[in-house]
Amino acid sequence: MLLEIKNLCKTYGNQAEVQVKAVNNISLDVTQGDFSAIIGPSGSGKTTFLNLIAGLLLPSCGEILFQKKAIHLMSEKERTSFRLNNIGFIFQNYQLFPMLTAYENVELPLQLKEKDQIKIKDRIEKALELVGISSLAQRYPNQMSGGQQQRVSIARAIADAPSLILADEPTANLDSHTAHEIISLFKKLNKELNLTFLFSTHDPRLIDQVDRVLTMSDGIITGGIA
Amino acid sequence: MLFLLKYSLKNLLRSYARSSILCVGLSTSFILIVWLLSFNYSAQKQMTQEVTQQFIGYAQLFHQEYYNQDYSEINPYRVLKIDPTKYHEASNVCGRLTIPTFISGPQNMAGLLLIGLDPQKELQNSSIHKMIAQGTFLNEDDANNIIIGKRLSKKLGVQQGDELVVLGQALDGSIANDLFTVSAIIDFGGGDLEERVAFTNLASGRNFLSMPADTFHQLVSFQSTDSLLPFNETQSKIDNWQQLLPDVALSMRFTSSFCWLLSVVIVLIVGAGVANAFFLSFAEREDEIKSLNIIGIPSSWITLSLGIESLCLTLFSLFIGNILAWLIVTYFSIHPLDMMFMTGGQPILLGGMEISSAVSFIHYPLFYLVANIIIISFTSLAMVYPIWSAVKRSKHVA
Repeated sequence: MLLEIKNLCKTYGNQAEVQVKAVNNISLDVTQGDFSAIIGPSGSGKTTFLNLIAGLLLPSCGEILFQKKAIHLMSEKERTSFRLNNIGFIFQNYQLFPMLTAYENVELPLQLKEKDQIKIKDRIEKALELVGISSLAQRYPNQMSGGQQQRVSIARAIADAPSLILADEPTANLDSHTAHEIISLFKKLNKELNLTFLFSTHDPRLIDQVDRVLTMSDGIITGGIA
Repeated sequence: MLFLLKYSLKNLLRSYARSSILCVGLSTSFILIVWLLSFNYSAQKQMTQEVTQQFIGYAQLFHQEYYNQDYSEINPYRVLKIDPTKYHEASNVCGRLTIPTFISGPQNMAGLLLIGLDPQKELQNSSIHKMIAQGTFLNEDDANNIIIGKRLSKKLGVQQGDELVVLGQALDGSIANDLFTVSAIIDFGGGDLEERVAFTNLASGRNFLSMPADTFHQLVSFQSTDSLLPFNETQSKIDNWQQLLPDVALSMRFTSSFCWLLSVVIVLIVGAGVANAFFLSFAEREDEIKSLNIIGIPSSWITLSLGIESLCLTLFSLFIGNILAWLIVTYFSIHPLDMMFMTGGQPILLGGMEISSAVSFIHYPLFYLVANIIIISFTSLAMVYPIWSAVKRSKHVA
């Protein structure tokens, strides 16, 4: 089992009358190679749920076990290191660093993990090739379209073949054609590299490409757990 | 490490305007500090030189009972007997006599100190001869020639070539009186000294006071106390100009302290400005820092990166600042800065004499070192909070 989530909840606010339960008693198992989407309207708790899994937020109750290791019990330093070594992140607004080229954006997390510069170069080139933007390697983010930028973001996330790739609304800023292309790319990487994907979306048109759909509403997963 | 450097430098270059403004701010602050310190140092040095060279000297050797405790009175009966061979060998030591007298002219009379000078040595060491407005400086062989101040000449109603009666008390207790011829008129810039002192040569002074040969009231050094040490004996004492002119020394110390205080205030303002600029530039990049944190980049790496950016900016600014500061100080050393505009055209008087208002800057390498250390220390301190704040806020993921 890659990820085990048990009775997870996250509550914002201290006083009972203003408390918001963003994530409410969710239990979920994710195995290596899963290709899952969390679907739900804005404010349903998707982002909070992904942030909890990534160790960016600490749960109010419950457990998150990643390869049997309890993320919620780790220190902040350990969680940062855990993210660097185990999780690939893909953002809604790409979050590329504007002063770095596509190549350098992919290179950034690798430089902290790997010392062998030849290996780093190989991984970057392979990742850029897999997402189909090898020819844009020396371009800066502002010289690329939204779809191309998202591909760079994907290349950065997959370059080191992490155990889990989390994507928060990765297609929200893209037109429907490009959005389909990105999800197809996810699927291709899932199949070819056996990468585990867990991403959130509020676009129901994308769910036909997904193996497992988790429907989320008011902090509760209402369907697709099994 | 190489990638970290590349990342930091690329970050620095991505916003030219922001980096340029910070760079200009830091360089200007550096120049301002060096300029201010150099001005202060040069002005102090020049003032000291003028005060000491014009009249009082850097240090004096005298009989320990010659001055009273607060240097307001003299006892002309306390003289020093100096070995003539030693005195003639010491070219940078001038012997003097100081005689309290009354001087009488056709229109008025006044009390003053008649100073007996060694003309040859004074010409080499002091700048009294440069103040002569009319006539010529004293000569060793002249008998009873006197140089008086411009103000005194007007008060007494005398011109160059006129005769004056000088009255006093000789060392043997008898009344001393003699006729002196005004050989020159001296201009101390209209200061009190023009009415309070007059000059004659040693021989005329000794003759007036019935003083034995080779006796002096003071030996004056215009460079250091060291040249007076060979003459120091049990009954004599050496004091420097600060002790002899405490009021002048105090006012110069005040000016110096004020300039240092001003420098500190400037540094504090610069430090606050730099901290604010860094804070704003880091706050602008909160999302970027947050993204780094999310993808697992450690806070230490982020902090180091921001630190390298700031350090590179500071070092570059200091490089520019050092060059410009050196050029500016050089300019003011060639073209002295005339401070007359601050006095409304009035001469600057200190200790009864006029001080040159044009300050010629002096290069002093220590100031560059001090300014570099001050800017680096302040920018380092100023960066601590912005970096800490930026990294801390990046961890609060909504």
